[in-house]
Formats: sequence, C-alpha cells, structure tokens
Amino acid sequence: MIKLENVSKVFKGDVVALREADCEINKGEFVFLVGPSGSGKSTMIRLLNKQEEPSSGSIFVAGKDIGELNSWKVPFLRRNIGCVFQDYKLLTNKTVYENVAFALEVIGRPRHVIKTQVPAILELVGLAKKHKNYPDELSGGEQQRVSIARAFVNRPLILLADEPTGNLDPATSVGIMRLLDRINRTGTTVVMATHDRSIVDTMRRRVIELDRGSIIRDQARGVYE
Amino acid sequence: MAINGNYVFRETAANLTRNITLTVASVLTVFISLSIVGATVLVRQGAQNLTRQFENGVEFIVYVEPDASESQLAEVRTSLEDNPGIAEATYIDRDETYADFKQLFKGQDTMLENVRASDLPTSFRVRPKDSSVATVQGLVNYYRKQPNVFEVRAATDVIKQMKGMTDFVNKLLFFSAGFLLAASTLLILNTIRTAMFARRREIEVMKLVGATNWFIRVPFMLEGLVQGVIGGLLAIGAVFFFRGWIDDLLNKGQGLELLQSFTINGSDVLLACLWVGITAVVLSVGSSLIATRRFLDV
Repeated sequence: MIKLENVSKVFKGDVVALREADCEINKGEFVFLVGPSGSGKSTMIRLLNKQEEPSSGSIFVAGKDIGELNSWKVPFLRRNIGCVFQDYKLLTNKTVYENVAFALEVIGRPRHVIKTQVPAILELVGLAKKHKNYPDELSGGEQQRVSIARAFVNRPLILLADEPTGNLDPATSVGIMRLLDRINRTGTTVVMATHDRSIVDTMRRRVIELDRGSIIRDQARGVYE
Repeated sequence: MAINGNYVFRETAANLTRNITLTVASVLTVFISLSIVGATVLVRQGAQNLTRQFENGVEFIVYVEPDASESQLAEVRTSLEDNPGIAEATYIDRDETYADFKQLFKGQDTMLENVRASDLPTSFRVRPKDSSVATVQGLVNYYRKQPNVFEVRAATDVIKQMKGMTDFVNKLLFFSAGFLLAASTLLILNTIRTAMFARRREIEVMKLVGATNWFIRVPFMLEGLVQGVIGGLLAIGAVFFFRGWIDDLLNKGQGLELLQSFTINGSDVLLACLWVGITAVVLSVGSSLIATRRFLDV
C-alpha cells in the first residue's frame, strides 16, 4: 500500500529530516512511527500525502509513484488518505455535523450521500448526540473524535495520524486508540506517529523507530523501545 | 466534477459581506477607473466624428478684393476653374453677399445702415476634389498668395486646433484610466487575498481532504468578478450620464458652434459600454486569478 524507496528530505540550511528511508507498509497494517521530537516522524507523514516533496527517492502509494503525479491529481490522492492531527484542525465556526459534512461537500459529494454518511460516521465515533455542538463546546477527546470522523467519512484507504493523542489524558487516549483500531479492522491502513509509550506497548503492533531522520528499527508486534 | 451551486453562492456572499469596507473600496475604484475608460472612448469617437464631418465635403471661401476690376475678377475665376485640384467654384456676387449679410445681422440696424453692398467683398465658394485636410490646406495657402485675393477662409486651422485639443484630452484620460485601472487591479487582488487569509484554516482543511484547487478558487474568483461587474455597471451608467451631459453642453453653448459637429451617437455609446464591460471582466477575473494562484500553490 505504501512503499518508501531511499527517501531523503533535506530542508533549507542542510537540516536532514529523513535520511535514505526504506520501508514497505501493506494494506490493512497498523504501524506506529516512534522516536524523539525532530526524528522525522511528521516529515514522513507529510511526505505520504504530498504536503512535502522528497529531496530524493520515490514514494509509492497504492502502487503509484506519487512523485510522478501531476499537481492537479494531488487532491484525488488525498481523497484516499485521511488525516488526523494533534491539534484537530476543526473549523470553530461550524458544528460537529458541519465539520464532517464539509469534508464531503468540498470534494463534490451529492447531498443525499452527505445526509446518510455523516450521521453514520458520527454514530461510529460516538458523537451522534452532539452533532449540533460547536468544537469549543466539546472535550479534547471529543474534538479528536470529530476530526477522526472527518478523516474517515470518505472511507479512505489510508489513515495518517500525527500524534493524535498528544493533547489527551491517558484514559481519553485509550478511547481514541480503540476507535483507530476499529477503523483499522475495516481494512484501512493506519500510520500513526506517537510519543506515547504505553499505547505502543499495549497495542503490540508494527513499530518503525526513527532517530535523527534514519529508520533504526522496524519490528512487527514491537514495543516502544 | 460537479460544483455545488448552493455552496458557491453561499461562500461568495459570505466573502463579499465579511469584508464590506474593502469590497466597497474596490467597487468604487473599479467604477471610477472604468468611467474614465468610457469617457476616453466617447471623446475619441466624438473627435473622430468631428474630423470626419469636416473631411467630407470641406469647402473653403476665396474672398476677392472689394475694389478688384472685372478683368481681375475673371483672372481669379479662371485660376480657380483651371486648377485640377478643384471640383467646383461658385461665384457669390455682391447682391447675394449683401442678402447673406442682412440675414446675418438681422435686427442690428446700425450695422445694416452703415454697411453698403459695395463695401462687401465678393467671393468664390470652392469645393476641392480631394477633401483631406492636407490638400485643402495646400490649396488655401496657394490662393492666399494670389493677386486680387483679399482673404481665404477655411475650417482646416480650426480643425487642427480641435484635433490637437481632443488628442490632448484623450491622452490625459488614457493615462489616468491606466493608473486607476492598475489601482483597481491591486485593490481587487488585495481584497481577495484578505478574504483568503481570513479563511486560511478552511482552505487548509479543504486541501487536506482533497478539494481541487478550482473548487477552492471559484468562490474567491466570483467575489472578484462580482466587484468588477458592479463597478462596471455603475460605469456604464456614468457613460450614459456623460453622453447626456455632453449633449446638453453642446445644445446650450452657442459659442461652441464648431463643436456642434462633436456628436456622439448611439453606436459610440454602445462601443464605450462594450469597452467598459470587457475591461471590467478581464480586470476582475485576471486579478482574482493572480490572487488565488499565489495563495493556493503548495
């Protein structure tokens, strides 16, 4: 599903964010990216949905070299990749329902699809009762659920999560992880960057560890370190 | 990809009203600059009509010395009739001239009492074959130097002056229109960029979930187009106002007899409106394209 071939990313001033990374992630896998801040986890995530371009090497998503992709095709790549962030990126002037519907609306989905999909996904993340609330009326965990609902409502092949539990307490984090696990079991490939040792150790999924831009460990059913 | 009309309308309306002061500023600048574009076209067309009228069938009048003898008069006549550049030369004799004179000074009795028919010069009304200003001017200059010729009167000097004046006014309008158009382009550009900046979080989310650049762009471009079109419509109103104003001015101003030929007809007004309309659309679409492109490049 995802393949990195010798991928490097060098930012201005010779800051190496990723150094000759090689890895392959299969369809339906759940992968943790671990490592200290600045080790290249976020860069790797941003490379996968073409928010950044690699300095060298190739990245394949669903069998296609995304470096070869015309810029007008990038939106269509992104429709297959859901994104979840530490800071949720919800629109504060829209309700829960509108935030999720917005993701379908702006990719031109017809209204009847929106009307059936949005309530279904809100039911899945457990927020059906709060669909009329605004993001600032919700707890952090609830906001992250909205953000996951928005990322998943279009049923993408891949879900990228960049420290989704970074702002949440351990108990709430467990709830979020259960949700991501559930999404993974529908066949969606999940790639999650995290600092959270206990989550990685409990889930026992594949772990890719980065250090100063290099992949130093790639372990099936691994632990944090 | 189907673009939801309801979505586009809602977003465009929201953009326009969110930043109402900037929107009004852009619309007003577009309005003023396009009015000047319209005025430029009107003045240009009017000046063209003016010179065209004089260029068709322009005549000049050769006045013979009042005390010229019969033979001297005949000399002037042959000179005119034998000139290959002249189509026709009609002699206006003393009686006819006096009749014209009486007509001209009707009611001014002192003038009529003091001037007798014999004081007036007789004249030839000359129609040249080629009526271009240059040829006429050449003939006029030639006959001024001939013996027994008292004076040659032609409209060419006045036309030259008029042309010079309208050319000057035209250039002035052209340059002010240019500067103001540049100002309105920048203002529309800025209004749209402000609107996009205000909505940068939404744009970020739209990009992440896979909205196409065109989908993101259309409401902002429409915002620019609406500003341009409103400004353009106001300017078209101004064109009609100018036309009425010029007509009034010409009808009242008896002193501006020559300017009577400075006419502006319906097709000139239409042409001016066309220019205003096209400029409005090109200007607004162009500046919105630039504004949205700069913001959307990833």
